[in-house]
Amino acid sequence: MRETLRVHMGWLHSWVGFLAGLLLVLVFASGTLAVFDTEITQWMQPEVSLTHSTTLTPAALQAAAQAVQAEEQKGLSAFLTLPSDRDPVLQVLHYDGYEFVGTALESTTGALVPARETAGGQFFYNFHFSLRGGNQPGVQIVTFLGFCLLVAIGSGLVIHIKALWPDLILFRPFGPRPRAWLDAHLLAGVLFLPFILFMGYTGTAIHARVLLPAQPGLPRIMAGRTRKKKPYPRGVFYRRGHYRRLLRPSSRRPVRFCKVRMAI
Amino acid sequence: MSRTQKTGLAGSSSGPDAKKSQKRQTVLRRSGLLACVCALSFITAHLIMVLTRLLPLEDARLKTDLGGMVIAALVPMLVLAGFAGRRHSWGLILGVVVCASIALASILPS
Repeated sequence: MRETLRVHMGWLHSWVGFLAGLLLVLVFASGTLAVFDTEITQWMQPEVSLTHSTTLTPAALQAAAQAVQAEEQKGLSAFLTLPSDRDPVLQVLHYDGYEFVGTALESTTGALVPARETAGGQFFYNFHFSLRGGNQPGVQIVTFLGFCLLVAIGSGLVIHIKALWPDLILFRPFGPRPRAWLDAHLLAGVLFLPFILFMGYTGTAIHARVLLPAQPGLPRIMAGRTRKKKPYPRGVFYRRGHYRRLLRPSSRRPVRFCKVRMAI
Repeated sequence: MSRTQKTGLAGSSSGPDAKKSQKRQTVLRRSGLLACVCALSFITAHLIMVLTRLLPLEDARLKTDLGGMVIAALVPMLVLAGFAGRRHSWGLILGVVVCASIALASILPS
């Protein structure tokens, strides 16, 4: 077969699309469910009544403050979510590394709502952007998959750019099976191209810093080496201002730290 | 002396093997090119993220967000251009030139 640009890009489109698509389909499905995360949580916690008033009372706020203090004493960083029409209970939540979990309080009395423990819709929300793998490697994998999606979209565009308009109105469901599937793929791909492109781009851009952090690799290694150097000589007085200036995180050259230290 | 006459079609048994080996070579070449292009693109993206630290903006998070937006658009473009440009390897050359320019920009004093 002659190695044309379409054949070359077709190979890239097939393999990148197939391999990344195996996981991307999970990301897409969980993202669709994550849109309804509050409703799924409510469905999984039928004890929480949805007919509460959303107006807050001082008693409820007092109870919420006590709950926050109790969480803080446990060493957890808790926060409040106020009641709304969508979610009419007062919640004291903290992040457990995967989901925002905590207690639900009635917005009028401040009484504890005895709801069962469940991640609910938060499970899908977390799965959508990290596959429940944390920041590393979960978010990194999903961001990499986002890049793969963008490459697959770009290569697909190169392949079908000449037939974008005809593909939009061409569907042969009763033709040979591969033809029918290809028509369906082209139809869906062309019709939803703007949506897929924007969702892929924004999703990748949001977490791009996790995959490629804005820290130079070599100076970071150098910083690690300089930390292991011999301790300060005794009897030398260091001014506090110098310390603050030299140890600030924005300092780009940790090696200079040693030189200035010796000069003082 | 053998009575069978050679017809010149003896290569028919080695045909599929040659074809298979040629196909393997093509796949290997494509995979190698893709790996090179991906590596170059990721190095370029990393250098861009490092370069964003020099932007005159107060908020460090804003800088990385801006860098993320740039590399999310640039990396797929570089991968596609590098993979598509096979004649005289202009795709690879383009990737190297972009990477070198970004590296130069991050090394040179602002």
